Amino acid sequence: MMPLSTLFDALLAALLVALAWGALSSRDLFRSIVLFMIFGILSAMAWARLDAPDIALAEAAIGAGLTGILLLDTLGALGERNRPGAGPVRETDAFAGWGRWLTLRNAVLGASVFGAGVAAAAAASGLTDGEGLAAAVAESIGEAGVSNPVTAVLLNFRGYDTLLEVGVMLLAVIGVLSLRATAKAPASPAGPLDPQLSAYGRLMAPVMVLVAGYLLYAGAHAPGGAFQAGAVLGGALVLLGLCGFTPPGRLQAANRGLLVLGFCVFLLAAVALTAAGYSLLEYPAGRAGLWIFWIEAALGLSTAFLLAELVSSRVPGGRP
Amino acid sequence: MSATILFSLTGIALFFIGLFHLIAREHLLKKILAANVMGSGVFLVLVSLARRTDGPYPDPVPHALVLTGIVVTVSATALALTLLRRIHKETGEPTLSEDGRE
Amino acid sequence: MSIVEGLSGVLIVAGGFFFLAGTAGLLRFPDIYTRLHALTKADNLGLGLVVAGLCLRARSWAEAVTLIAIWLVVLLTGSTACYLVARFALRSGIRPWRHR
Repeated sequence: MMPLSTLFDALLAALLVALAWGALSSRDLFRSIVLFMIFGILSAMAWARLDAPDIALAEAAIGAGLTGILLLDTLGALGERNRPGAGPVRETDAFAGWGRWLTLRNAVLGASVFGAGVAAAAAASGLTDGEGLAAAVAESIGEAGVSNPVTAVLLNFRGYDTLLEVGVMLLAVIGVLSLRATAKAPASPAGPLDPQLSAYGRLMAPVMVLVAGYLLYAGAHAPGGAFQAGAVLGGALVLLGLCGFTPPGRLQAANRGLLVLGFCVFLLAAVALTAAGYSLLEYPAGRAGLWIFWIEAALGLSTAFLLAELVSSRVPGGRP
Repeated sequence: MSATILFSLTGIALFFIGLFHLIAREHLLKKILAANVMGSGVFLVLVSLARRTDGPYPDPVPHALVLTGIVVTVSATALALTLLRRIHKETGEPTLSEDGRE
Repeated sequence: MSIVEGLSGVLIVAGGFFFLAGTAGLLRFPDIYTRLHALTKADNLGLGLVVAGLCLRARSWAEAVTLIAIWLVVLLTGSTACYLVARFALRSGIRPWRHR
């Protein structure tokens, strides 16, 4: 390890901690959110430094981008920036009278330091030494149908977890949709919001669709995959929404179907394979790549619409 | 100090910073941010541990776990934010304080 | 260190210098419009220099073209964002700074 790259890593780690602390301690909520978004982008850089390009792609698109939009949108709906409660730490009344040192704040601080010490000691003592599963994956990668090991684990070796993950996403969207008072989609603003933004949207949305398609295809042999593609495509959908683009009626009607498409396809595949005598999500030998591709395509498409739905949901009474 | 140990310690620090603010801050948006920071800390620990062996590539199972985790985190954050908006709409306050100070 | 590597290093460091200049502008300039000006001009040029330096180290033409495409997308996105922020600031009534 060259000392220069270690210096870079140390600087990155210090920045991550400083940004997290600054984001959480700030009195101004807007500042908190912006610092948190920068924290997300630097996390993506940390993933890149840790040889995890798939995660870096996902974090940059989902963690920094979509979460940032969600937070800013909510802040706008709350209609405030500065709240007294966001500032100094408050002790709860339950602990009042126990002595000035035994406050909740100090208890949490002490527990944190203790926990951090225990974790660091565990790491240093070799408790986490072990083989890891890289060798096991490398042995079986030939039968996986894809050569990107992360995609192989996600869609093949641990496909069951991914199936449930898509289920969780669907549940979250159902939860968000159910908290809307009205059943109709919110009325889009009449016409484009801003000519510059809609020009940008017209130019960039096709590019983003292309990038999403490439990420889906490349996920088999290079960093990429269904969720990264879905995140970029979802970003394109959010961008189009911001430009005031109203989807045609048929697409709006198909929206619900698209939301559940990924989960249903995956579930159907699992059921069909089990009915045909394979064990859970074990693909037919030699055809695994094909199965994975089509499942990933459905997943990516669904993820895009699920994420777009999460971002654009409105609670009536907030800002349109 | 290798990157693995450095980023694991950073992840641990982030987890506890997030935990502290999750408990200590009253504003619900702050709590949601704190929970996200805790999640990022856990992911950092997982991914840095994935690099601890000298295989042909880093251990892909923690990578898959973290990828799943990121997607689940954004879904949960979206649901939490919608709940926050609903609470704000119903009670007028973005906190759940019970001691009447807000 | 070969000529190409040295040149690429120089370009990247020069790009870093422009980023530094943009940040200095962000911290020191008096109002939002001048800060936007500093950010977009300096950061885009800085990124261009960094991309140029990286292109010299690229392993194939495809990589170099991808890097340049990334720079163009950032250029486009940055200027759109800058315009949107400036427009919103103007609509919100923030007056441009005048030297007194």
